[in-house]
Amino acid sequence: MSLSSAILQVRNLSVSFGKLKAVDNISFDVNRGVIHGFIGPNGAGKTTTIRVISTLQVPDSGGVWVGGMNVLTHPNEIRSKLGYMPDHVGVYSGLSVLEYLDFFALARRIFGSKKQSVISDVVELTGLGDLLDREVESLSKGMRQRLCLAQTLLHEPDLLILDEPASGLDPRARIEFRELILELRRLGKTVFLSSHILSELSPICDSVSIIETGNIVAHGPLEEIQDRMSKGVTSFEVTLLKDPNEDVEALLSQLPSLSLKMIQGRKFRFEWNGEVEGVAKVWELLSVNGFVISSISKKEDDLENIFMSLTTGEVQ
Amino acid sequence: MKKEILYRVLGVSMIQKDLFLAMKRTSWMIIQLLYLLVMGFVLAVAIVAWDSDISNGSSLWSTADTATVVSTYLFCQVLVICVIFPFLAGSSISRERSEKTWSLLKTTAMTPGELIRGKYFALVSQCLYVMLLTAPLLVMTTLLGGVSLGAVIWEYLLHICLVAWICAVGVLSSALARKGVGAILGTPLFFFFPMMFVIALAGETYLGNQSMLLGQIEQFFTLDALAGFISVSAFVLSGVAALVGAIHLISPVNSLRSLPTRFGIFALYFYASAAFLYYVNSNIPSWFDYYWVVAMFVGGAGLPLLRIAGGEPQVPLSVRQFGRDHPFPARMLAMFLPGGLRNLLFCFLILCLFIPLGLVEIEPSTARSANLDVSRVEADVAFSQGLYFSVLFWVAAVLSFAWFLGQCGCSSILSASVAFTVHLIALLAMTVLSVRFDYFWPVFSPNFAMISTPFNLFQILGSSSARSFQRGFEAYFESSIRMDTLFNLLQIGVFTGLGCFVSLRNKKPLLSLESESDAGLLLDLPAEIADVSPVTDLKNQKPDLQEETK
Ligand SMILES: Nc1ncnc2c1ncn2[C@@H]1O[C@H](COP(=O)(O)OP(=O)(O)OP(=O)(O)O)[C@@H](O)[C@H]1O
Ligand SMILES: [Mg+2]
Repeated sequence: MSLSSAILQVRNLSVSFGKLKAVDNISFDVNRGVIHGFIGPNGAGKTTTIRVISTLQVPDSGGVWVGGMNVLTHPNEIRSKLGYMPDHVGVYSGLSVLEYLDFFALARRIFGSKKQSVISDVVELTGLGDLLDREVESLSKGMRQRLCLAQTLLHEPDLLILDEPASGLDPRARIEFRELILELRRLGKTVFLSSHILSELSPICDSVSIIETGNIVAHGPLEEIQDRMSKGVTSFEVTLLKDPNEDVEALLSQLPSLSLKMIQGRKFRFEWNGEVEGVAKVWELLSVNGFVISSISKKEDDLENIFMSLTTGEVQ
Repeated sequence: MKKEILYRVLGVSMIQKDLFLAMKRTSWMIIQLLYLLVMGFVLAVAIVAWDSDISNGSSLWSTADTATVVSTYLFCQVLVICVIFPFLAGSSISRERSEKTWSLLKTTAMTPGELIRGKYFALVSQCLYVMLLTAPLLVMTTLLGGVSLGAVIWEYLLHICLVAWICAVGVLSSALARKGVGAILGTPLFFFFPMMFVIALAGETYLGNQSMLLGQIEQFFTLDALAGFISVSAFVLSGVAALVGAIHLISPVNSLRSLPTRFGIFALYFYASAAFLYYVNSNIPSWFDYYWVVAMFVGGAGLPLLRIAGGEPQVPLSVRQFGRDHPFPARMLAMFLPGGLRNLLFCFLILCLFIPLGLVEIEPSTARSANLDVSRVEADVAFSQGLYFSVLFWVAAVLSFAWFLGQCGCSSILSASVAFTVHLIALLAMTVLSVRFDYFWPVFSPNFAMISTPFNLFQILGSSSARSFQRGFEAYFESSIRMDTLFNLLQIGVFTGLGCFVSLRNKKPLLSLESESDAGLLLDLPAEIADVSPVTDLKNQKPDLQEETK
């Protein structure tokens, strides 16, 4: 066992297909009990990385450790600790939901009464209760995703690897899926999930890795990445109570660390280059000059903007 | 606990699922219907034939009629087995692949062996089910006399053996195919010749001789017990080998299956060479035939080894681990472990198995040597024996060439085909030259022109028809030093040396299992970054990241 709290450790991992370097020397850690987003555009190498983690693919170099065990040397032990949901969920046409779960429980060597209880647990968790007798084939995409997730939970894995679990889901199903994943974290599981869209995952992720053309371009808790991207510049949006009949622009230009970005009716937006505490001067200046502030909001850098500035849109 | 063992050994969960799915599939219904139709048709025809007998005046069912019906039925059964079941078996794994369920299965607790065994037993039981559908009808016909129930049951058992073999090979062909199309194309490829043989044999036995396969096999055994034993064990071995091969093909990242695979290959060649020796000792062939046959055999049997010789120079991960964890057995089994120089040494080891074939004492057969000069005959024997060893050395030379290419980084198929093609081109070029410059033959010193073993074989083959060849043949025949053997030995030395040089220069392992410069697969967590947490990691990356984003 490794001493660190990381459940997943990726070190200098490279995978290539012929000349194409799908994954190029990436390293990162994922801590126990977190939801970690693995985000990148199409063809970035997400699925390839995930397949290595799930013991389905041999890397060219580097290594991956799950719970301190190398995927190359202990694939069987890792499989018993890991739940993998592929990007394209395959189902057996002809099986009902219950039979499907039953088969995968047997495939994971869960027998008898334990099997019954495990199946009823995951069915309850994933909300498949009403569908047990439905043919797998007749399920909608969202239901299939749920079923596949239920299947990966049967052996009570510590680490869940979900490849684009939310793709192709409608907004409602997406939100339900998020709830499900939060529930899994509450149960103490680590969830590693991939997506194309940063904002889709940001509400639930504790940390993210952003990958592009096989390279990790950012890694860490989302707030840290946001802070870093904003480079010490904070932007604020202020709404005044009344339309300013005097020139706010001239007034604010007295402050050197302030740069005004926009004025529109009662609203204006500025960026503050300096200590955040110093921004109090602005409020003071405004109120001294008789402007009444109705609301102030600190603008976070938009997630989409972060994603766009981190990635170049290059395709291999 | 016991249940778990049962599940593991037989792959019960896989069998259950496959059978259950099969029952629900329409294609399965069609197969059943087809089978019943064919069998019903056969029986109907038999009954019609009986009716016509009545009109001829003989109103009683004779026992010979039952025999005809039963053997026709059995022939049709073989026909259907040979035509339908290969396709059923050939799609077993590729169907899972195309339905994208295969990767799910691979991440469960089921081992590759369990997956394959489960698939296999499910297939066999499906086929058995179909075969047993019509069995009651057949049993009823035996009540009419003429055929004993025991005989029918024995025939059924033989057919079941055939089905078991077909399923094993079908699973292998299915495991080989990456895509559904490959499986459909691959199945006839695998089955065409064996099935033609089986159908021909069954037709001859059931329809031609009006006898049973069992009788045929008994006869074979009484004629030559060991030969019978060899054939039967070859049949069983190839089935088992197909299953082992399939397991090897679907094995995950880290498996040591290359070891049993090489054992299997070694056993196969050992077996073939032993079988040859046995046949030679039981009925001594005339000298000329014998050496030709073994020379051709060695030439043909040696070529599949090219892929092993030209394989990856890298020591597979599993082998490295094996060497690390069990150093003593690893040293003992070194010849059978892949990677580096061992690839070539393993092939040479197999070639050594063929040496006894060339040392067999052969009496020149009296019929042939009756009107020949005795010393001439002895010289001929010596010559053809030498020819056999030339071929052996030639195979070794091509193998070392392929190995050299493998060390240079060519894939196994590429190095095998390049090595073979080069020799083929040399053969063609020399043939063209020797035909074109027939009159200027002396310009090419015969000894010089005979550095290519295939060319020499070709010349000797053609020596009775073409004069120039004959001249070459005689020159070769009379020379005390065989130029081609010398040249082959030179090639072996040069290519092995070059290969070693290349691999040392590329810092690839030659003999050791461990190597420092291995492409960098990490087995142990590197200590220096082991405790890197995401936050510190981030801070380290920060400066250049900001530059990147600017
Ligand atoms: N089996 C394969 N053979 C050849 N190239 C492959 C294979 N699998 C993936 N690739 C290539 O590797 C690169 C990374 O693929 P990967 O599937 O990992 O991307 P991804 O991030 O999952 O993309 P997506 O968001 O579209 O699923 C792509 O350029 C892809 O074409
Ligand atoms: Mg993908």
